[in-house]
Amino acid sequence: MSLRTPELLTTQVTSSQFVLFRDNEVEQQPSSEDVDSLSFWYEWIANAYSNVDELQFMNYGYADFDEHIDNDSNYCSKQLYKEVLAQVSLTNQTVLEVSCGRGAGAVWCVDNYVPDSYVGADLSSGVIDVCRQRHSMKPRLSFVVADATKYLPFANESLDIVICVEATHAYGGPIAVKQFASEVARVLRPNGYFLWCDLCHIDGSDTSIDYLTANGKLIVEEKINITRNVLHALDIQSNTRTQFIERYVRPREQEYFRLFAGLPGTPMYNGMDEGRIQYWRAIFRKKTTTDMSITRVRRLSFPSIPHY
Amino acid sequence: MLTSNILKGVTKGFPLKIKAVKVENVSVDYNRDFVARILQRIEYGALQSAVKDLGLNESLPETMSDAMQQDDEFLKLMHKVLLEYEIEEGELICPETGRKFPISKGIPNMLLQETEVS
Repeated sequence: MSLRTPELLTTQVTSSQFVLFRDNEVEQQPSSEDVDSLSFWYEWIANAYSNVDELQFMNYGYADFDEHIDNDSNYCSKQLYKEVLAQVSLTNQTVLEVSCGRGAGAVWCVDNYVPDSYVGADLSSGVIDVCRQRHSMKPRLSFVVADATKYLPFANESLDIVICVEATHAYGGPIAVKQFASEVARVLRPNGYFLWCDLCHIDGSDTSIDYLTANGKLIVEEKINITRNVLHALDIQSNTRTQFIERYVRPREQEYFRLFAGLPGTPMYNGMDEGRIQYWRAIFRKKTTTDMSITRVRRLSFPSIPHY
Repeated sequence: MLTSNILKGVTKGFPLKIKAVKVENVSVDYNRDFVARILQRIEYGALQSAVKDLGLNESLPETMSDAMQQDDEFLKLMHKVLLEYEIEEGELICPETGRKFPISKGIPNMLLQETEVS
């Protein structure tokens, strides 16, 4: 599930009289300035139905093309984490996951890789509270409320790996993403990895990757367009998700959930299907000083001098 | 306690002072290798300050030598201090600015106000 652009959200809200329901059944009417704010919507979706197992992951998911069966409703979401991690092992590493949502990805990573420590950070104190409630028994896993587009509360070069899954599109534009990238570069140790995937809205397919590498400190080791795999995941999950929404989600909220789930026919799905929106994953490596000097040497050297 | 040893404030802000209102004692399985490894990343001085801030009834040796990092007794003490004390309610305080970050239900809130971000 992913966030919409403000235009889509605003349209949605004004056309149906939208009423917020939270788990404690208190109704809240969003004010007109609230509805323009992505963080408001993120906070809302993050707090809705927070104890439902099927909704513990909030990403679109990933599926290999030979996968056809959606037995476990979270299988594709776990596969997305597996893809993002690629060949990078978290074992014995100090890991930070930014925008960890409800922490289901964090739990999967901790269970499968046994890092030394794994901190999940999110802007929403509501969603971190869900993490705390559900996952506080895992000793290597902890959570913190932080705004990654402002500053990450970690010392310079103190982390081995930073993970960020399907979130940067909601950070509020290029300036915020660049500030986020600077913070990531700051907290990563040299040669540490930043593992990322997200929607790239189209004015250029790797727009987000450009913003992330703008400060010159994160080198792209690998970048893969996984749009068709994400679409395939959305396809194979669409029946289960549609039925779930019809069965469990309050009628007034169903359309919103359908949008979030990226069901076939929704704008995000169509955008990806038609090539207007792409979904990429990438591995970035934090530059070392050696990298910098090689770059300088390359600029000065003649083509016949061998590279190292 | 382990998390508080790696969090920091905005500029230099480390180590954050801990003011605890509610501390819980939890039981965590001891993993010798894990503790030995995690000690490499710990700021021992900061940990000592934290233990002192919290008024825990644990006496940590003055310094942490290489030999001690193999010693079972010491490792078990470190396991207890790092993993078995959870600060449920309290504050983390930046040593430079005095800025307080609340800890609520075990979660530190490190969000800044708009005016605080340069």
